[in-house]
Amino acid sequence: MLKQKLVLFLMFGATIANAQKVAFTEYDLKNGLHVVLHQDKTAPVVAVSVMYHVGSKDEQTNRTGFAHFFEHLLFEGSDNIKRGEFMKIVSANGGQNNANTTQDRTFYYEVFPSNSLETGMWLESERMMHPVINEIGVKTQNEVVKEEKRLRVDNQPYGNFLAEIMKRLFVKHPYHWVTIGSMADLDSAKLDEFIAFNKKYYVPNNAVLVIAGDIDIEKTKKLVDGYFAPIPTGGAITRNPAREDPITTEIVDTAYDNNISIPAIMSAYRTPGITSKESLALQLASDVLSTGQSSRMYKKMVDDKKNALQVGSFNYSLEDYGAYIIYALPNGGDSTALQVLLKDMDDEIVKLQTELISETEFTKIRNQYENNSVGANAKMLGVAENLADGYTFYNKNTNHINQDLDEIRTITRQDIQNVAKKYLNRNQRVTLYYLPKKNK
Amino acid sequence: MNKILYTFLFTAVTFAASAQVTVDRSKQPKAGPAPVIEFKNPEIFTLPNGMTILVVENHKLPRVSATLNIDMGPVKEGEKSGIMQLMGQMMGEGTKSMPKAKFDESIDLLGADVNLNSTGGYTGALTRYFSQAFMLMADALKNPAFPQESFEKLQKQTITGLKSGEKSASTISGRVVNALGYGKHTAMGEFVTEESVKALTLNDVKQAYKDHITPSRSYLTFIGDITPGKAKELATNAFGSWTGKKLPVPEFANVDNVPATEIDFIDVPTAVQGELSVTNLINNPMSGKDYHALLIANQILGGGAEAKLFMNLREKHGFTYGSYANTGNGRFQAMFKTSAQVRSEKADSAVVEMLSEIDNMRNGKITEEELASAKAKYNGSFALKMEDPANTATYASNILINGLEKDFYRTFLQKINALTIADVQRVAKKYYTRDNARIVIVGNGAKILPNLSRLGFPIKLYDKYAEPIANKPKETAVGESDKNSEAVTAFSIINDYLKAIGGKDEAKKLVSQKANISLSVQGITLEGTQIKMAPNKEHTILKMGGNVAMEKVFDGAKGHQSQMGKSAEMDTAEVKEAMDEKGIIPQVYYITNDYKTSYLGVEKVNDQNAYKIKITKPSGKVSTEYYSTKTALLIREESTETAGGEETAVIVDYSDYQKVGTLLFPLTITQSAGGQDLVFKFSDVKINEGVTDADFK
Repeated sequence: MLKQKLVLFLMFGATIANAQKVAFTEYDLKNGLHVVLHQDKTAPVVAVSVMYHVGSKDEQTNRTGFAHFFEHLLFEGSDNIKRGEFMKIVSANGGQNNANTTQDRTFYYEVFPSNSLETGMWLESERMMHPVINEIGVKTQNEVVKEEKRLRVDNQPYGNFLAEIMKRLFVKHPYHWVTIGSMADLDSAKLDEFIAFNKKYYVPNNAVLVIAGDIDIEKTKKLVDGYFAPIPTGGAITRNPAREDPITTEIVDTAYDNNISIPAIMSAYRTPGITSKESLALQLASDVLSTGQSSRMYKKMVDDKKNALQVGSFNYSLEDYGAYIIYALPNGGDSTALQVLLKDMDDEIVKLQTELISETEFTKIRNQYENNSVGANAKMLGVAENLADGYTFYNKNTNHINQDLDEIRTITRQDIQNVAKKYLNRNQRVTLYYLPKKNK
Repeated sequence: MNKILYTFLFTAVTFAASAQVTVDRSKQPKAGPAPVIEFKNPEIFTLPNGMTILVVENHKLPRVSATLNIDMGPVKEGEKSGIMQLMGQMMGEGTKSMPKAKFDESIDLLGADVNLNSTGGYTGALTRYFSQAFMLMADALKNPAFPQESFEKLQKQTITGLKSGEKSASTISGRVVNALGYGKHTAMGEFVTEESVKALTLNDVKQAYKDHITPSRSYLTFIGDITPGKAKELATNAFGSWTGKKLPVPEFANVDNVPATEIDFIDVPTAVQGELSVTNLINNPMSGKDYHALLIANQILGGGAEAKLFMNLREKHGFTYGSYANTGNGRFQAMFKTSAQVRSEKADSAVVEMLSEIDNMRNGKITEEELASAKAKYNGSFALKMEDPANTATYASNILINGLEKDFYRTFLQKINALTIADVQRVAKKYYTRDNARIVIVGNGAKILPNLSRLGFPIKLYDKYAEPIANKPKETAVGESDKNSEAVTAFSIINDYLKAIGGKDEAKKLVSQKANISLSVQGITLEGTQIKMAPNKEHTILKMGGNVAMEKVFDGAKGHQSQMGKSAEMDTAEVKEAMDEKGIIPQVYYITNDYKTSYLGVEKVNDQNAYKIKITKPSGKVSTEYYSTKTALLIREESTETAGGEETAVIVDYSDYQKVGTLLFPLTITQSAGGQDLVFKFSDVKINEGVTDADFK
């Protein structure tokens, strides 16, 4: 009886929920730069960001790591900004800045008190218009990137797991390698190649400028025009990355990591790209398995059987494909336990394939999704990135930011079962034993 | 007509617009007037049981969070190390009325986040589910079930988790830096170990709960889509009747800094980078007069990508991905720390650069631009922080907990903006105790240690748990070297030497050697020959004016020595020692189980850096050999000779390496013993020709 009431209450709640609509203005400059402006005056803050549609998947197979390298290189200065000044200018204006790179895009940003809006535009337009790319910058950043790799990958427990999975899951498509790339490739690259890569991809017609925060839209438009309109357009960019042949036989392999003592078992399945509805269904499937302590895998393996220290599953969703990854670490750290963990994981997949998830679980994952997405637009930087993502990846649909929750609500329990059946089959996957390196 | 007018107007507007947007991109745009920063006060009220409630109302998003923080300060766990963390986790393992599975299910169904920890808990939820989620957190805090089964699960997980960090240089560094700085038996320096966790019991959890989870000195902060009235109602319902122990304010004696700057090294042979920290302890309460100046000093030294450390270690030298400074503050003793994760080969250089930037701060080498930028960053970050309503609550609770003036944050920027370079230098000098600092490095000893001695600081070795390593390295046969990094190092030094003289294979092919020798001693020159044959046959003869002055013969089993007409058979011990040599170049055989080698560090030999290794030969005789860090060649050998019942240290220096055939030979050998230097010069070296067994009769 009590339970009945609770469900009713939840359903009532769901109908009154409404997401905050993010209002925006968008247009193209003649040089092809797409501009998105969002006004929010609750705090005296502005985020100025540029998302370039270039990532590691745009690299040549013998020049991996270029896109990420540019994340560093494009802080080296411009015709009007001396080397080493970029970050100093940001700080001197009380701002923060950074950049990040994925397989698909690179995102540069500054967050300033709103009185420094123009400085943000100046910095980003200088970076787009005439960055300085020379030997000294390349050499310095080459060392820095190597340190970053040591820090984030080589010295990091489980730091190589994604690379180990991706190189087995993708053999033709450039998702074969991860964004940090190969240090040997970077070492052998000539200055001309860096300049050519910049000229090809870091151009207005391959970018979205998003400015979000305490701004006056009309004034900002004029400044955008002043700073960004003079930037010459680039050549047309065509992308036709290789398609993968389906995996038809399970790939079982072992990888070693110097930095770990607790092994891990992982299985990974190739899934469709980010814009597909199936990708969302797969994400919900992963929530059923591992979001929250009452999720299926957590409850079974960590709490009831107690054979896992940690479990997880997620749909690593990218532009062209995704990777659905499930993993577990044995409690006690014993490698011989991996087989049992794998079976426990597999049983849960089979259950997803053979039975619809319960109504209660369905309500749960939708509430969890909503709870998480409410926070995504709490700060101006988050808003800027979500707007840019929509334009860059969802067929130029900047408004995707406002449709996210609605899209999730269109996914049914049947959809979740369907994707589990279609994509999460044993013969379509990579199973990886990720083990501590033995002392030699 | 209308249309024409419209077109005309349109053109005029666009013309006007483009006329306005000419920008001068040659220089940085001027910032507009600084935005006004409004400080809002949270609603604050207290419950009779000692709980303080703060409410920051903000309806922008349909969500609410509540955080309970019990202001217990650092807790000294002593031999119960790990108990607080475990107790915090145990509160999430179900309540007296709700087993864990039900508790988890209830939270997840709301899509909420509810976490419990050793100092309280957190609830975050959509507005419409917040009350229910909040009451779940309250139930867990007030009525934890503490099932034995959960205790065993978490205990095992904790141990497994500790194992997972065993090899991680950054985990080790995090532990050791505090343990060395504060002392491993203090609240701030102690750490959890597998042994301490194994010894814990469920009763310890219950006791820790009783002692620490209490409304006394606790702060409950609501943020978001909630009115103060509703928050008060919820708080009163949940905690109004809650009682618990009265918490004392903990007090700790100050820990002294080291009397002189030293390097504390922890060897992690698998580490790809070195974790470098320079630390000293400080007292920096937020209410203190130096607090603001220390913030700015920290910002200039290592507050971000434009600060001195980053600009030097990353942008100028590329030693690291980033280098930062952190100046602790608060009611208790805190740590000043600069740190970087650097590549092993450059760890020594990184120390030098890091110290030089600390010196620059102390010497006032700070530009007006740096000062202005640091101030701007604080002014800016105050504006940026307004995006997050949680900061309003943080400011308010900081004032309460630290006993600050009510207008602390309203006057904050005023105080920051009034600081001068002299102020910053003064606090840097006072608080960055450059001459009483610990330079803690966690990393690959084989790569990093040899270069550190040039820095001139005493080097102390510690293990992963901050225990000093006694100054006698373990003796390990090289054959067993896989488990012992010191032996691996000795092994590689010997291998490098063999490579440097022409390769191990070439060295093995050397079966005989014949050379002329001349010896200068006290102005007199002796001439002679030395003949050697593998494995250890030797015949050395030195003549003065046609007469034999010295002679030494060993045929592989027996031998004799004569000096100025007096002759003596080699005794058993001497024969045994002579048999130690398995070849003309004995290093080839150091890499066998008959020899024990250990690496002792780096020392200067005749102004060169040299790796020092200790060799224990099959006879038990010990010698110490020094190989140049630069050329890899053997440059010195030290041993003890017993003559006439007395032990004498003998030092043999090797120099003037020249190529003979495929191998390098030292053509000058200087032997120092008993205050006398003998310089042997070799010439006309012939290898693998003209030597027979008959030469050793």
